[in-house]
Amino acid sequence: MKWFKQLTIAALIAVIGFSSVPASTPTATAASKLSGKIVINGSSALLPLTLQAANEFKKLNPKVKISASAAGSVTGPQAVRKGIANIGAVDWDASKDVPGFKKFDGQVAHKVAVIPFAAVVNKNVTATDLTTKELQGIFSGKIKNWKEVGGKDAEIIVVNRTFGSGTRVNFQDKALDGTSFMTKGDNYKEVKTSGDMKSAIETTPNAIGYMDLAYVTDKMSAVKINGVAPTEANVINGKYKVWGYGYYMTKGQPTGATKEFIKYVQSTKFQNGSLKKLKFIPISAIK
Amino acid sequence: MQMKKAMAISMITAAISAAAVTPVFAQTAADQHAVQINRSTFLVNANQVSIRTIMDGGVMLASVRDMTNAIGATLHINRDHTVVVKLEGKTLKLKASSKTIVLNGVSSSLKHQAKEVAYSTFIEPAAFIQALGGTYDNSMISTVQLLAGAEHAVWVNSSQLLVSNSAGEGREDYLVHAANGKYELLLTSTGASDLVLSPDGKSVAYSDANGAVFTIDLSTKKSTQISTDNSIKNELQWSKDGSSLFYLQGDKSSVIAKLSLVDGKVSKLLEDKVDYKANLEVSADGTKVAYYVFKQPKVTADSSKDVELDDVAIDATGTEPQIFFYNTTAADNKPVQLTKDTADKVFLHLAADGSKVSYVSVSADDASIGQLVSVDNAGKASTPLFADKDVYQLVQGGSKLYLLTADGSSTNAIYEIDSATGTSKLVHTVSDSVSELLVSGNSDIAALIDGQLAVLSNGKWKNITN
Repeated sequence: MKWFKQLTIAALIAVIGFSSVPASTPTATAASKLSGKIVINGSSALLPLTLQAANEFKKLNPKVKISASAAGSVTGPQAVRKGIANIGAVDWDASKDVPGFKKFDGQVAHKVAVIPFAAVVNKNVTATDLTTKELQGIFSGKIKNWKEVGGKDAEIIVVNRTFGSGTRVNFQDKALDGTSFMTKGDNYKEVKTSGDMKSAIETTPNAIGYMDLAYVTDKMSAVKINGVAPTEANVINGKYKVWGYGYYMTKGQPTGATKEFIKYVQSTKFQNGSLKKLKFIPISAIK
Repeated sequence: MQMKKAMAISMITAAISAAAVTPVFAQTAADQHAVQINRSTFLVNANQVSIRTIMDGGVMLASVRDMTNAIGATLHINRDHTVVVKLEGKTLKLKASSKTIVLNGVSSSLKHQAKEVAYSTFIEPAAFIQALGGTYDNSMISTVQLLAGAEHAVWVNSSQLLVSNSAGEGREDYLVHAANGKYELLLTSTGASDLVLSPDGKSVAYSDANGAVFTIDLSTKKSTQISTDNSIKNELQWSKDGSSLFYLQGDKSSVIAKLSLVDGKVSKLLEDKVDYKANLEVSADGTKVAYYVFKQPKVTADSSKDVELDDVAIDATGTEPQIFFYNTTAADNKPVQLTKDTADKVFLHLAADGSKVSYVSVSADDASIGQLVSVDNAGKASTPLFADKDVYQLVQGGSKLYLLTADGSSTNAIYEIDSATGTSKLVHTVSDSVSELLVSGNSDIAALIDGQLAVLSNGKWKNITN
């Protein structure tokens, strides 16, 4: 931009002459003049990030109204297709076919974050290092007791996200190598959001579930998978495989306030500041 | 990029050579030929400055006095007409009708002799500036290496600002002198929160990506880790006495917590299970807090239905941001909701005594007109404080509030508000390219304009970053 600024100054000088050059810098559209309404819906994993960005963006652009909600990833591109949201927050690239979901035609995917996902267990569970095969057995219902995987003699409670969750899509694809979940049983329950999952794992002894790393609290344990801990460092160095990109989906290329908001979320300032603070990983960290 | 930059520079040069405004014909004692004095604009340390120039034998010479003023040097003329210019340990002596200049006692030659016209001395600008340690390139003078850009800034005191810029995978924070733009690196970080200045202006605090909290002494640059607690900490706020930090805790900012800088102990002040609080403000005595709550729209979606049916509905009724107030001495986890209207709201300021909050209310219609509103801490008396112009930004400076507002077609206005009386005073107008207004505790004003930091000095905006 520097050359452009100088060019503009030079052009200004050439046009009006030196003696009357004003003290102000070249005019440009001020951020305070940006207006519009942005409706965002979809992934509950991405909601804290979206709301943090919205709060910061509104201070720079007070005339932009932003509404953000979450009911599972698939409802993001659905809401965009239906025309009731400008941005669909989703934990997979919904412009492409993925197992369980067809692509959303005409929608453009914008990467906004890298989301590490973790298998999590209640604090009373002692088996905190599981292999892919053990995870497949547990989430398919074939392994029913913690003692079968080196833990105490206690029945395993499996907590799953409902169909349409991006966290579920990623966990099934990357932690379970695509194998199927159990769908019913006395020791099986489904929850709608990441927040519900957090509550369930924290309060249910012998429970196992999964969530994005940002939601993990000290009231639960994040499970090592094949001996690798779910950490930012292990995602970046390629050792930990259970992660995905978070996307903002738009109907065609975004314009106006929506375009500027996505640019803000993708900006170096936000990616390396607030986004990292919320325990997401910047998209630039994955080479 | 280089080609475009060169093109821009050449355009400045062309403009300079073409400009001959306010010609003055003068005759000097030494030279009886008429000489035309022009006024030309130079870019001096990122600021446009008008400098007198003459053409002498096809060579452009610039006024020594004007250049001296522009770069902040001092000028003295001896009885023998020797011009003495001093800048940061360098003393440069020169004389009209002479090709010799003397820098710190060492002589060197000019290509073109200095010339006196109308009692002013003119000299080749490149030789003059370079002798004083600066650089000169096609009418651009640089004697101070300015920081490239400014993404965020805050006043430290009347002479310094804290400026942040993205750098690589992280951020760099600098202390920048308001007078001349000189800067020094304070912190290089990645994943760190914004640096938050202590009330006495002597320290900053921040949390890193792991939630650990640090302070930095601005005089010694010494960093001290205060806490190893790894919870997510948003919106650090110093207590007035500098003994503790308040913040919103957790990924959903649901808890208001306090960290003692004395022993690193964390205490929870409010845990009401309400998520997504923001814009935390704390009273001077640290007992009262105000904040926004961002409520999410209700989404109805049946996951058992075919995805292609798009069976999803969003009901945003009643989800406008609302302001809450909590007296922590009550310890009942029952904050008071101060607003219930449908206007959008942005910026928040809690009075030092906690008696009221001020905020910018943005109308719910498409016009989105902003006005400054004040409401008491019981939520009963809401008063428009400033509705004359569309309000863009609310900033605190000392005991007063400042507004950036709409003004003319290409300008914004800065108003000072006495929150006690509600009276407003126009402080200055500024280009509408302003993206952020900054006011110090002493009412010094700066602004981010087109990505450059400018300070208001003697009624004029002066860039102190590139």
